[in-house]
Amino acid sequence: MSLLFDLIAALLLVAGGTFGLLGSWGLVRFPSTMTRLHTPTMTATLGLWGVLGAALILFAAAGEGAGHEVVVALFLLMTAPLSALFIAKTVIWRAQRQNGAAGAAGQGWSGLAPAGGVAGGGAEPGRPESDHHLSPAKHDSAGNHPD
Amino acid sequence: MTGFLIPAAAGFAALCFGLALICNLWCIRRAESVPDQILALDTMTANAVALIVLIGIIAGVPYVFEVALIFAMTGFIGTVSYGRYLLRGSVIE
Repeated sequence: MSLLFDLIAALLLVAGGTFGLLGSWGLVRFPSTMTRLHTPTMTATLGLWGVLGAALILFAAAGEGAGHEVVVALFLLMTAPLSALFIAKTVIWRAQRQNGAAGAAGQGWSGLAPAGGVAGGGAEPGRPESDHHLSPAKHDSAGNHPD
Repeated sequence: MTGFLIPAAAGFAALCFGLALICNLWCIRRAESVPDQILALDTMTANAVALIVLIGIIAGVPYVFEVALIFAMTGFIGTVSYGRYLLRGSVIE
């Protein structure tokens, strides 16, 4: 029985380490910030879950389990999307500011201007300024109310 | 936790997460914008949490999970406050 626990834990450890390395390698490989956002939030969190699951099995088999690993795993599950959300908001805000649509605080989604043409988050430096962002009376087609 | 299997697997995982930390450092060095650096720093926090848990597995110490939890909280608060600073110009308004 102990050998079975050890086998499962070793498998989880190897899988977790591989996923963690892949998550950070994707951070090196991917081309833009918005695509780079995917690998730490999903793959690295999965790798961390593998390690935490192995720790849970090992310490429970040794009779010392207290469930702390579950708390850490749930905390990561809750916080990884939030930090990704904040980084994505920063990227969108910088792209909008480069496109000349700054000063739109209080409008749209959480302080950002209503989304006009920031598709993909890539900075489009040659994009002409449209007055779509700058007219406050005009709402976007998605129906976002400026409150 | 005696035997050969668990230390070998945990050592492999620690090697993987150490390489991941080196990748993150390279990302911070090479990043072209500040959100990239925040992202790499956030990933570094996750990898450091994994390394702390691996130290606990290898040494057989069950007390490292509080350390891991507090480190994860610190990393999350750091990421959020840095992003908020970039968005709003201040952390607490």
